[in-house]
Amino acid sequence: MNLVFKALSDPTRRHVLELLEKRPMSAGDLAEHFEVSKPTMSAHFAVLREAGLISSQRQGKSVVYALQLSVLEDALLRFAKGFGWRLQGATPVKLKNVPSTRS
Amino acid sequence: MNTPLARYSHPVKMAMFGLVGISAAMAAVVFAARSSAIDAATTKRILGLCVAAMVVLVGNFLPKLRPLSSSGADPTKAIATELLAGRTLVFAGIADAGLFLFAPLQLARFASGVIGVCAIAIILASVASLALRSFSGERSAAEPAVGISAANRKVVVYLLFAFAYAFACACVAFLVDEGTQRDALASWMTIAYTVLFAVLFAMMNRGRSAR
Repeated sequence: MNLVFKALSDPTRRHVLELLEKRPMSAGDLAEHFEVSKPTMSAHFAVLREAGLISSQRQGKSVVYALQLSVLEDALLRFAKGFGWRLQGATPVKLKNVPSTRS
Repeated sequence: MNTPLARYSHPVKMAMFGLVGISAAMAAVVFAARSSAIDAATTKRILGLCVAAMVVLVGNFLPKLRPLSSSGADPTKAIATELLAGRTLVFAGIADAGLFLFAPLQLARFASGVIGVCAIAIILASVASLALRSFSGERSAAEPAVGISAANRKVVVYLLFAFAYAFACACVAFLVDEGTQRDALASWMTIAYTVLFAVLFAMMNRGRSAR
């Protein structure tokens, strides 16, 4: 359960889970949504996979990730999203293609 | 060390051990009741709680077990259906547990039976809707398929079949009072499940016999 809490404590990883809620995606498609390096994204995927929150499957040259949450983990994710739960020192999420809220 | 269980994923093992543990607890309660260590009312309450625990356990792990993932259906919709089924079972199990803990026994049994039948109906409706969409070929070509290994899939299908039988039997036992009506219903259910199991077994081993 520690691994699950660790995985959900980071906003980038939570955003990855949010994206995977819509549909299974390849590592490249997921990485396009973030302004972080590929090794950093790979490390995030590894943490999520180790916690059992996502599953991966190699398809040709790409790796496809899909959500694999139990009902309890899904409830924890919603709780974490609702309360903006974040550990100190966690990397702030940098998103691409998000319109600025400033006018 | 490479044990026979090593080929199964963590959620599959958790669900297997959980179901076996709860079934063992139920057998122990029945044994204690037969040897007059527990009275009939307490036995019924404890068995009701065991069924509720089983429903919560399977419901919680159902989205991780991915029973619909290799069915050829749209992967996003299959995952959403699995999550809906899991949530339905978890809520039903929690409600059952609350009833068996706090409500009068007669009310708890009847309400648990009704909740169980409703949960089964919701799950069957959502799976039927997914199957209809997949038969009509409604699937986004851009969406990659996600699946589980053949070993995991086989054990998950049998595990869920056994759970469905136990849950359906429990619902009937809760709803129908003891008597000849219940015995007749139990016999018909056993026949129906035996036939269904034979069909399922044939489907699961179709590839092997064709070789």
